[in-house]
Amino acid sequence: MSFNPVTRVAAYLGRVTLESVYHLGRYSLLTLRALILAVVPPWRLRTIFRQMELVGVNSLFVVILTGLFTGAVFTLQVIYGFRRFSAESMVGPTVATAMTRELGPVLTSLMVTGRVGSAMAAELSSMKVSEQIDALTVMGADPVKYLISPRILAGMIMLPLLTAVADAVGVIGGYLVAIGKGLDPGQFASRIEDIVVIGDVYNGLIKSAVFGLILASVGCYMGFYTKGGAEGVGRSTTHAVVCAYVAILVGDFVMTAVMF
Amino acid sequence: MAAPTIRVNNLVKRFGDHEVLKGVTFQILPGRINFLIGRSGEGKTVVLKHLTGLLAADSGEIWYDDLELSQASPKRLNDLRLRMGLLFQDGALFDSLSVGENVAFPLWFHRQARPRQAQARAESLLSELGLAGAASRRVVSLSTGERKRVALARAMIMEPEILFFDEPTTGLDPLLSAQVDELISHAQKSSGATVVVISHDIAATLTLADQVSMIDDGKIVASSPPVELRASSNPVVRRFLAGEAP
Repeated sequence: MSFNPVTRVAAYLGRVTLESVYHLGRYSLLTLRALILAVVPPWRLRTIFRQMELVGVNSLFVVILTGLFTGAVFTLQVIYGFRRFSAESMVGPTVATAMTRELGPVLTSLMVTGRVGSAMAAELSSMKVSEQIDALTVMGADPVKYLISPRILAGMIMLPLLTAVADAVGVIGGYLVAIGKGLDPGQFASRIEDIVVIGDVYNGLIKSAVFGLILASVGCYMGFYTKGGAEGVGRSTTHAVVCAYVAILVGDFVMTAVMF
Repeated sequence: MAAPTIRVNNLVKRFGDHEVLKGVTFQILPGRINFLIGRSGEGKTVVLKHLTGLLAADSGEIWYDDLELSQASPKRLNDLRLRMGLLFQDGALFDSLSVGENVAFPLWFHRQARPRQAQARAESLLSELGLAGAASRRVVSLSTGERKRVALARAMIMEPEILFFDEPTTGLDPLLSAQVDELISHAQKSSGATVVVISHDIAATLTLADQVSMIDDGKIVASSPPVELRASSNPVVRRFLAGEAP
């Protein structure tokens, strides 16, 4: 049977659309089930704390570095721009607002996705191909409750905490650069107090909790439904990072439009 | 609770366009060692995954006494699984846990024992299987034979009524194969469980089995005690037992 190019393109687009809808539906059902099971007893606190350590404590160093340098470089750019308008007094509030509302949540989530989301996908996909997930099922242990719920919970709890650290360190980084560039330290801090409101911080933390949900659930979804052997593990890990990055950026736009 | 009678009726399974099972029908004798044999790629493991509820059939039925698996609620299926133990072909041990934690996992997960008691039970079972002192070792440090024994200990720790073995001697040398065969026999005798072994090891089949079913081209072509199987006039069975190409 032969098809003309238009039919082929239409068939390709149709197939891609159907596959996307299928994956989105399956992902949504898995995430919803994991969230429901997370609040249904029995709770396995040891497993949850273990995941919180992996997501949060083990990511702390990289998040501090990211926050510090993001705050510092952003301050350099802002000073350069604001000096043109003699608006140096607005450097502190601008840096603090950008860190708490946008840069802190998004960059922290992207860094943690690269470190933890990929590891979740790799671990679960390796468990899948070596039949460890089947073994859990046959033992009467629900793999969604045992493997996915704790990871999603850990993501949702630890991302806001890491973001709060990144926000604070970013502002400190900006402060140090501002002093180095000859700005008045008192003015930098006091103007932050005047202009930045607590809602900026809260909304940033809410965003990061959603990003935590996204990075953990996407990583788990990609790992949980892996097909094939070692090649499948690699593919799932790559897809987990790319899809989570895109979902975080799109989610960030939507939440920013709604919240602010 | 007594071991259930398991009946498989007209099981059909397709993967894409490939029909793997074309109406598999056989019965598993309770409290006996049952072998399901056949050439590689004939769908033995697919049958096992249906028996354990890991795969759903396109059509056909699997009965555990009066419970039909596809009609079982998640709760009843889970209750049934607590009566099963499965030794996977490669062990399927959890890399993130130690040997002792792997074996004790079902007890710990289902809160059937306090952690210390579960650990003691695991160590005792490991000792019975010739792995005394291995509880603290990491899974990656185990040899193939040791992995099989640890997986067997994990499958047995809940004292299941039905034990499934998926090609337990594949990839093992003759000495280890004999050890694993001995373990299967020992496990059945000590617990009185129903044992189902998926295998293409003819020698082990004829030595250990009480009942043998042979699958070929997606269907059961023979189901009988090993003595009768040996005397079978079915050319497919005769060729398989003689180790000849089909």
